[in-house]
Amino acid sequence: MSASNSKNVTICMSTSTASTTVTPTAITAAKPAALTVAASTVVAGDLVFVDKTGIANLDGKWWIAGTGTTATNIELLGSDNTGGATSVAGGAVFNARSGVGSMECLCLSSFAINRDTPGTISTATFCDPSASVPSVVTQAGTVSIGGYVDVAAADFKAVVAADISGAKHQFRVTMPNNGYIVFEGVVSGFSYDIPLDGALAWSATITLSGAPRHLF
Amino acid sequence: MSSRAVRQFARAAVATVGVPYVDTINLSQSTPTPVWCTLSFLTYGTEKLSFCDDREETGAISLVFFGAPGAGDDSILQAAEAAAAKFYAYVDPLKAVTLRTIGAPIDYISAGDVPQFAVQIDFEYSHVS
Repeated sequence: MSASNSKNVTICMSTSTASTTVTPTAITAAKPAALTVAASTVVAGDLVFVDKTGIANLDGKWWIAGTGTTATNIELLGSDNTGGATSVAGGAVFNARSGVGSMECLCLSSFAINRDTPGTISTATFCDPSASVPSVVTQAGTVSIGGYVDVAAADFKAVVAADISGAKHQFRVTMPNNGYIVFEGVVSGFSYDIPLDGALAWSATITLSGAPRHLF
Repeated sequence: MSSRAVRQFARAAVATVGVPYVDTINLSQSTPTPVWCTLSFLTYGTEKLSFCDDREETGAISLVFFGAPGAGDDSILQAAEAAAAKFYAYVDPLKAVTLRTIGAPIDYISAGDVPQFAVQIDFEYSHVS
């Protein structure tokens, strides 16, 4: 294992809920799996949401279209359908977030994923003062992001709008030669840092809807 | 050494200060009658600001004023402080270079036969690119 520099890492956020819907007709029993479609505009690197295919480990998740994606095949980077079904249920749907018009890449100065540890509920008794059970309430965690105030920049305005809307957004972190991190969450807690001498900065928190997934 | 953008900014700013400016960096110049001024540059370093490769160069621009020898310090300081205030107030039209601080005048008195009396005022700058 060797370390990789963070140079050329890009962090992009969906800015539109508009989606392209395509219906798959088959899936390869392979790793990565590829969905067969009549025709799609999905290209490699796009975020795609897979649902209602009947393939349990694919449905309800965001994926990255792999480099094997074509007009009639959508390769799901990081997926594994080895030995699985090759037919999909009717009514399967994809919502694509492509890089053009529906994603805004953010010029962040800081980015950190903070996963929450499962909580516990004390069931202490006089016989066992330290007894506890796992809480059924679990949270995926948060992502802390920060950048510099620039009202002329599209990415700054996109983050501000996301904080105001309170809507879910999808995020894609592209790591050169190391795949992608994909997650969904709500931007909140937008705040400003105005130092006496230095750059005007902002910070915000993304509350995760689910665990971030590293696809490669 | 500072980047070209910083030097261009400083040369545009010094043109507004009302004291004759002479570029003395790698040039052979004949200097005018005091008071006149020149510029020198020092870079502290460069820091990466974001994942988009925005960078901030920081350093100091020195504005050096030369006055007549044997004429005391008050007249040159008066000219230097007035000019430095104008230099500090100059705003980069490209908004890339910002003068962050203005220093106190530092006066130099050379030993022996002093050809001119010099006062230096330093400005710390930030250049984002």
